[in-house]
Order: sequence, then structure tokens, then C-alpha cells
Amino acid sequence: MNLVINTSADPTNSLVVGLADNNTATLDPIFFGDVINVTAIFSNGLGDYADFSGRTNNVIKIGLGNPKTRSEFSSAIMSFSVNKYESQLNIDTTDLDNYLTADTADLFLEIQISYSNQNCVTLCQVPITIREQIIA
Amino acid sequence: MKLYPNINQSPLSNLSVSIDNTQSTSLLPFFYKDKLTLEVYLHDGEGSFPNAYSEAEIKVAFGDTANGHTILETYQLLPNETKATFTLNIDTAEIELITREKLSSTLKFEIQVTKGNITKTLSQFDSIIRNQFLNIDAVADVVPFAPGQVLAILAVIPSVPSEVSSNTTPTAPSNVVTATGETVPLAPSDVTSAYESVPENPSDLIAEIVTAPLAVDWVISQKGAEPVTEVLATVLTSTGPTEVTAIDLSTIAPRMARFSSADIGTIPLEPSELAVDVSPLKPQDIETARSPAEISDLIVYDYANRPAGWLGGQPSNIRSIELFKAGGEDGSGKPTEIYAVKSLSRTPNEPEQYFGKAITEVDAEQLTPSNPTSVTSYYNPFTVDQSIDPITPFTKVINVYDPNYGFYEESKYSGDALMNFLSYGRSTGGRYLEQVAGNNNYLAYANTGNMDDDEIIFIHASRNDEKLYYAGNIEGYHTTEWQNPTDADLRTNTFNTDFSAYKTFYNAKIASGKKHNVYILAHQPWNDYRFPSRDANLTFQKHLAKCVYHDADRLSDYGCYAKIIPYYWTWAVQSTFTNLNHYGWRNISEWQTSIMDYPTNTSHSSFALDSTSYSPSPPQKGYWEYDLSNASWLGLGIEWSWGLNANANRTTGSFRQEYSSDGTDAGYITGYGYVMSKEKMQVLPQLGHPNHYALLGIDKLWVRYKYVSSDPNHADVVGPWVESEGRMPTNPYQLISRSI
Repeated sequence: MNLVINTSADPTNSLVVGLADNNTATLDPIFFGDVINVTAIFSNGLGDYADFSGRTNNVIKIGLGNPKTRSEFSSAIMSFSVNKYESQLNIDTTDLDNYLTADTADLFLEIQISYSNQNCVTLCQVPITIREQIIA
Repeated sequence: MKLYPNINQSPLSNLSVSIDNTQSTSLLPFFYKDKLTLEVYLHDGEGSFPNAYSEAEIKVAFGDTANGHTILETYQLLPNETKATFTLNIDTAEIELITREKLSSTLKFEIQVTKGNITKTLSQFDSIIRNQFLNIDAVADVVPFAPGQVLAILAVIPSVPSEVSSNTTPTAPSNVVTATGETVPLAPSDVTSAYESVPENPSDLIAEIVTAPLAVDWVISQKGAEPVTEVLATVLTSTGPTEVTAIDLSTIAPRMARFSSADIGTIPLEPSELAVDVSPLKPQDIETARSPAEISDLIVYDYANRPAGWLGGQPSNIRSIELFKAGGEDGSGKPTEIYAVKSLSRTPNEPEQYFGKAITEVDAEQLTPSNPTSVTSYYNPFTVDQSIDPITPFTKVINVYDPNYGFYEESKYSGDALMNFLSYGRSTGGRYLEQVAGNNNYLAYANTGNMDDDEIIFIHASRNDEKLYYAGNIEGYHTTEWQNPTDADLRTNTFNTDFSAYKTFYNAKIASGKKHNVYILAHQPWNDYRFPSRDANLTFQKHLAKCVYHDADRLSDYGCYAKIIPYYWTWAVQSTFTNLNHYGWRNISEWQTSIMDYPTNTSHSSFALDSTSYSPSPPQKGYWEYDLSNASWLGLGIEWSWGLNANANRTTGSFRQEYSSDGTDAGYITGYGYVMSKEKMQVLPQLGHPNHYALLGIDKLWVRYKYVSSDPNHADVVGPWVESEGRMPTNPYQLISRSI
């Protein structure tokens, strides 16, 4: 999963097509039972990388969950690697299994950054669909 | 987040895209549990700050008209300030309530300005507050642990029993630190579950916090309205209270309420340090924790409170510092902080190095992470492993040693502070600090604890606007032969004399066959020229020097490169011309330069310039790059030519100074100038990488020479001594190790 997040945009609408393309992007569904690689690029909305990109004293976390119930079903810390952040997201957690009671369920993908000054900002919160799978 | 309210538009729709762009925009949603910085720029719709609101008080708030505000922050604009900065913590009980079980909720967001008796609501919008689930409260929340890591070191245990338990019995936690930072003693009732099973290993403590209480081990109650963020616990063993563990719950993600033994490290302390009347930790305490596995909560700062990289340059050159706060508070409320320091951004082939420094009895404000400047200024360079690039610590030394021209917090560094600074590790090496009589300049040297006994640090003494002075020839403080400079020395630059003394010493060391490193720290005191902006980051590393001396056999193991950058070279030479009353300034690219390789006298002239176009401002820069691996002798010279006009009557002259490492012909340009002998250019061979080299910038080449006419008809014409007068506006002198 490749994500480009416009950090100057509304976090509920910050998923964009590219570093220099602020057109809104959408997420493909994810499948329960998978473990996927996630790559995220953070733009400043002006075609360049966000200021914090690559800085060592911030932590970026990505997760799947339900904001309404404040339930986090899966999350991972993203590590920086040459202008992008990477992590693996486990879509095979018990919480997700419990949440997925039909063929599909609606989730949110959320990305947050926390800084060493204790500031913590949500950069992205967009809907994503999780689907049940056949091949376990 | 930045907001640009236009004071001349309706408060209900006056947010602009920017000060220069009055197109209306809307407020972005806020997220429950986020904590963010909000910057408010008032403007008049015409690109300017409204002067009527100069020095006004600005408030921002969230709330509703029925219940008032739930968040209210105030900012007082300073004179000429046009931006109000707020920190918004979207984490109030009301917001928690209105977002509970919802994706989002709406509050009013309001901006209000008060100036004198006038209070005006500038903006009022609906603000969406969205719920969330990730809830990262702090960086440390997600710092992964590793077995053996120390989450925190408990410096003070207020109530260690005086009697040693006969059994291996862990005691209940004694204190908690709330989210507000307050340390609160735990009452027995706060501990709802005692430690039920005695572990074989006292470090096998398990703690639970109230956010996820489980019926095991310790459950710490919430203290008032604040959640517990830290648990301090002691462990008593059959041999006494020999281990102390502090668990900083703030470093644990909320769901990681359970700590396993792998999460908790212990630091053995001497029983005497666990006395009821606890004294601050001693330096050696942190020394015991000096290993990578024991470092956990690392904080990176630079002098401008930015992330690592304050030395600037390419990442591979950066030697920045991470500070590890490992302290607590003692019973008296006086902070007792410990910082372990870790070097960053090492070259790939180098292992990370850790070293520690205990800081005690200092003003609390100085040591808070939000004020890292003072912390890093206390950083003790003499604990640095010699394989660590010296630029970083030496920078600190310079910073401290030059209270007159220190870049930061100058007033904090009194002579006592400096002495304290140097006192650390005295037992392992010895250091010396002396204040030049009546002057706020310091001479200091140190034999580092990490070095061999015959490894020496020389520190340059500066004296206001006086010239350079090099101190040297000290073998530990036991046999100090410190050459106190007199005022006259400082004024007349006793470089030659002192350096000769040093050289005698050094040659003796060579003869002894021992390995030894000698560090020379130089500080350029031409302050008026050096710091046009006094911005430390600009000049920080540029007035340092390090020369590493090694045995020849060790040198042979590594390639050794030198790159010489004669900054403002042209200026010096041009000044010479000026003094000669000649004209016809020449393009520096036409100048011939050479470095001589003795004994073959092979000339390696590879002079290059950053730019070939001459301009008196900024001065040109050039450099030589030369492989000194096999050089035993080095010369530095200059040749020139000039003419009374551009096309005729050209004449040439030259001078060359040549030096060898044995000192036999280590002359100086009549006591002026800066000259280099081969050993001074040897470059950090211990870095173990052939592509390390040194940069030696020559700030000011003092040239003194006599001109003898080349015209055979006027061979008897000998000119007066001519000295260049070029002074460097910046960046006088540098020798910087770097990786390429």
C-alpha cells in the first residue's frame, strides 16, 4: 500500500495522488488475514516533502481502527527510509477478526505523528474497507 | 496549524488562505487527543498586520455558548510581533464526552482580541472535533524496548527502609508521577494489589497501571484526576537495597500496561546511595550505565531546539548529541538529572558510541529538555571516546571556554561553572583550568580519562581581540609546565615559543614509541570579524582545530589526506599589494600554489577554486587536496606575479616556507602566519576509513617578506619587510574531519 499524505490538507481528505499532485486518492480495500507493506510519503502540499520528513525525533504511527469507539485494531510504527516511511501492517489481528462480522466492514486508516515536544497531530484519517478472505 | 483571520471581514467567515491571499477558507478539523501548535496571524486584508492590535492579547477557545469554553489559551503579542502562538491540547473531559461513540462532533472555535479596554471577537466558527483511535500521546510511547534497556534511573528513593529485609521482597511502589509531572507519594490504599509472588530475580517486576488494571502484581491507582505516568519502585534483596528501578509509564504505549522483565532494566547502585537522605547521583552512577543497551529514552536537540543536525553539513559529517534524561527528583525538590549522551550520525563503519555525564545541582530550568542548550553546554567532552569525531565535544569546549564570546548563555558560565565542568572525571585524568589574570579568558587542558596518560589536550587561549595563543607541553596535570601567557605574550603571539616547547615534548614521546594522541583546540579570537551575526550555527565548527598525532607505524595503516582551504587567501595577498602600493588586482586563479613533498620536492599543485571569478566580496576560496600518507615534510608557499599595470613591467616574486616533522627546519614566517607541518595535518586515522581527511582553513595568511628586485640592474634593491594585513571576517581557521 503506497500512501501520499498532504500534511497541509484536511486530515480526512489528505490522501492524495502524489507528492506534487494534490488530487484526492482513495484506498483499495484490504483483506483480513494479510500482512501488508505500507509506504507513506508526506508532502507539504506544495510539491515537496513535509518538514518533519526524515527528522529523527518524531514518531509516525499508522493504524486501522474505529474512531467512534476509539478502537485500534492494528497499528505499526513507521520507519524512515529515503524520503518515505515504511512499515508492515498486520491485518490478521484478533481485534480485526472480531470486528469483521460480515463480508466487509468499514474501518478507518489513521496516521499520527508525535514530536519530541509532546505535540501529537493526526495527519490522516480516511475510510477503508476490510474484506473477509477465503484463503486463510 | 496556521490561521489568518481578516479583521475587516465578518467574524463568521473571515479566515483567509494567507495574509496575502484573502480568499476565504474553512477551519480544518481537530482531532480528539491531538496536541498541536496553532499560529494565528491577524491581518487587515491588505497584506499587513493591523497595528491597532499591536501588543494585544489574543485568546483562542473551543466550547459552546451553553457551557462556555472547554479549551482556552491566551497569548500576549510582544511589540512588533504579528503572530500569536498557542498550544492546543484537544484532550479535555468535555471533548472526550462529546466525541464519545461518535465519529465527530462540533464545537465553536473562537478568536478574541483584547487591547486596552476593548475586547473584540474576531472570529467564531464551527469546528469539527473528530474522534480517533491511535492516540499517540508522546514520542516515547512508541519507542520500542529492548531487553535490558533502562527506562529510567531512579535517582532518589525518599523512603528506603533502613533495615534490610531478610527476604527477597520487592516493596510496593512508593511514588507516582502524574501526567502533570507532579510526584505524589503513594498511599497504601493506592496499591490495591500487593506483589504476590516473589520473583527470583528482583528485576522481574511487573507493574500495572490503572488504564488496564489486571489482577496481578501491582495496580497503581489513579492519583486525583491525573493518570499515573510513572511508578517508582524499590527492590530490596537479601543483601540490601542494591537495585533500584524506576518505570516511566509514559514510555509505554497505553496497551502495554504490563511490563515484563525484558521491559525493565535495573541499575545497580551502591547501598550508600540509597540512604534515606539521598544525595544526587554521582557521575560514576551514570558511568555504570554506559552501554548501548542501557540507553533508551533518547532525546535529540540542537542549539536551536531542532532535531539532530545542529552542526550542519552532510549527514555523514554530523556528530550530534542525544541526551538521555535518566534522572528523577530528590526529596527536596531539587532536580537531580542524569543525561547519558550518545553520538549520532556516525559513519557506517563506526560503531555507535555512548558516553555519559551526570549533571547535578543545577538549576532545574537549565536542564529541562525544553532548554537543551544549557544541557548540551554542560556536556563533558573529556569522556568522549577518541574514536568519536572530536568536533562536537570540542565545540562545546570552545563554547564554554570563551565566556566573552560564547555563543549561548554566556552569563551562565562563570569561572566556577567552568571549573565544575572540568572537574568531572578528574580522578581519571586530570584537567586544569586557569583564568588568565583578570580576564575572562581561560586556559585549559585535560588529559582525558579515556586516553592514555600521554595523550594530551591543548586548548587554545583566547583573549578578547588579541591574537592566537597556543598552550602546550603539558603532561597531565601532575607535571604541569603550563606556560602561562603574560599579557605581553598574548599581545604578541607567542606561538613559536610555545609550540617549540610542545614539539620537544612531542618528539620525546615519539622516541618513546608509545601511541599518543594530542589534541589541539584553537580558538580564533578575532571576534569582530568572525561573527557577523553571532549565530553560532553559522560559525560553530569553523574555529576549531584538532590535530591527531600518532606513531608513524600507526599512520602507515591508514591513508591520510589533507585538504587545505585558505579562506580569504586573496584578501591577505591583496592587502600585500595594497601595502606595496601596487595596483592591478589579479584573479586568484592565476596564482600559483604548491605543496611540496620532501624529500623529492615533487610539487603537487592542484589548486582549485570555488569560483574563478574574482570579487573582493565575498572572498574567494580555494583548496588543495593532497595525500599525505607518505609525506614527511610539507611546505606551504606562494608565488606571485604582478605588474605596475596590466600588460607591462610584470615582475615576479615568491616565497616559500617549508617544514618538516622533525622540527629541524620548522620555521615560521617570521612569526606570523599560520604554517602547517605534516603531523598537524594527519587526520583522524583512528576513524579507520581512508576517505577521512581534514580540512584546514586558513583564515588569515600572514605574509611577511622582503622584496628583492629581479631586475639585474637593480639587484641591490631590497624592499622593506612587507606584511599582509588580511583579516578574516569569518571562519578563520578550521580543521574538520569529515567523511567523503
